[in-house]
Amino acid sequence: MLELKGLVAGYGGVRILHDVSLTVGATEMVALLGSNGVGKSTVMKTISGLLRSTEGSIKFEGREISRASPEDIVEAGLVLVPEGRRLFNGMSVQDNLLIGNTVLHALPRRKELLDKVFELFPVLALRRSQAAGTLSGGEQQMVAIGRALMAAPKLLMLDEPSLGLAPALTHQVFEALRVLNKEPLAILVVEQNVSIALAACERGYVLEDGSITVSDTAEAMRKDDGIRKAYLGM
Amino acid sequence: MDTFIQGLVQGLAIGGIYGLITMALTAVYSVTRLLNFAHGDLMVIAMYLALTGVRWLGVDPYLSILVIAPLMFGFGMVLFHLIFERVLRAHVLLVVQVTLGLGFVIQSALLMIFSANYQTVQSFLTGKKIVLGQIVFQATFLVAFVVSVVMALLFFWMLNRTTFGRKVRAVAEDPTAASLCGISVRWVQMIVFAGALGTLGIVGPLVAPVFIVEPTLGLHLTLVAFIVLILGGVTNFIGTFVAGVIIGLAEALGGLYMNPPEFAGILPYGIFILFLLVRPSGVLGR
Repeated sequence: MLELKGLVAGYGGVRILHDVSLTVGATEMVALLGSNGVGKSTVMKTISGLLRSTEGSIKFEGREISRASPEDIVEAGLVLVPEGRRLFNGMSVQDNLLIGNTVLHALPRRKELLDKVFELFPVLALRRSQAAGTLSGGEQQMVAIGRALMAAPKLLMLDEPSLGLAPALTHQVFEALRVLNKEPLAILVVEQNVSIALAACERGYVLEDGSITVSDTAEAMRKDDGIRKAYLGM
Repeated sequence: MDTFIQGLVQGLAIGGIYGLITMALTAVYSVTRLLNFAHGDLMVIAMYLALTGVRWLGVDPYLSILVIAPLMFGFGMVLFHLIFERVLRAHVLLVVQVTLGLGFVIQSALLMIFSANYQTVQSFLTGKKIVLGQIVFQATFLVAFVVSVVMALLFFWMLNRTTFGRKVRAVAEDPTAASLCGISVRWVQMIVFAGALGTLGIVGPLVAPVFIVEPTLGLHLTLVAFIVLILGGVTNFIGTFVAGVIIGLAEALGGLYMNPPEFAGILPYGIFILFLLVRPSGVLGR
């Protein structure tokens, strides 16, 4: 469904990604792992059109999207939940969710999608008229995911969904992702919390200094000594 | 008492218009972070269009709004595409230079076409008085005030209740996050910019009968709009309208009661400086 080949990207002449190739299947949940500053967020920004790649290709459902604008990529069904959530803090929870519902093919399904989000995160239904900025971190993450779901994505990408969340809430967020994945919805998640990511995902990639160094099933990665030492502290 | 009421009506009318002009400026600023120093001059174009309509075609200024407003909207799309879009990511000083330059180009063009003469625009309401018991005031002022309030309310409704308004607020708060929601930031910016000019296309002919029209009027309007913008709290639209009314009242009542009346011109600036000293966050805060 999503296929990255030999992706090179960076900021103002400084190369961050040297060679990134990965795939996500239509029903898969895939983790992109790595420590701080290796370029995980840059991968997400490049896929979602916020950053232009200089070399390589990004194909989504067979279509080249590496030159498409962010809004066209959302329209195509590839939606990012950005790092730090980036909610519209002054707006109500409901308005934040409705803002996510701007692409043409999702518009007629507004009511159905909204109900689905409230079913997945019942607490948001209680907070619907509250300003998004006044919610707790976990609730804000739920709004961010809900906002992305309102665009009726085919592939959901999440950049550090556990950032700033208590462990119990992180588990709740990943539990929701697993439910979504069963629908089925393809998911690509960037995480620093490697143990929880590997517990939830089927496959994983490790990014080191802008290149993919490991690609394996989650189970094999959990047993891999190198990964256990480097990322799981065992 | 009579003169006070008349001054009050006049101040409210001019103030409401100031508020509306500034809301258009604020809307553009909030989605582009671009301050348009040609804002007032663009409004003066609409006023001269109304003048042309009544002088040479015999069309009442109020009626000419039906043509001028869409014309200004279209002009806004073109102007955004040709000039403003290109300086969106430029340094703020470049933006000041480009828009200020545009203002001077407009002023010179108006000077060439219409001369520097002070002109008045006659409407069918000009000279008509409305009498309420002891109180008498001019119909043109009442129309200007009522229309400005209605338009301000429409603007709030659009911003808070419609899908497009939600997109505008999203782009104003975080353009990157808005684009990740599938919103075309460029499209929103263009429509808001064109909408601002369309608003000027309504306001210009509307107030043409109560202003004395001359080519440099635009710079004065731009300055007042900037004062109202800051007084109103920059991105607080309700505060902007209230601040507009305060400045309008200050000008009108100052003209009546200041001695000598020439001092009235400095009153808005005096209020502005006072607010900066005492309450820099604006009348209603940010």
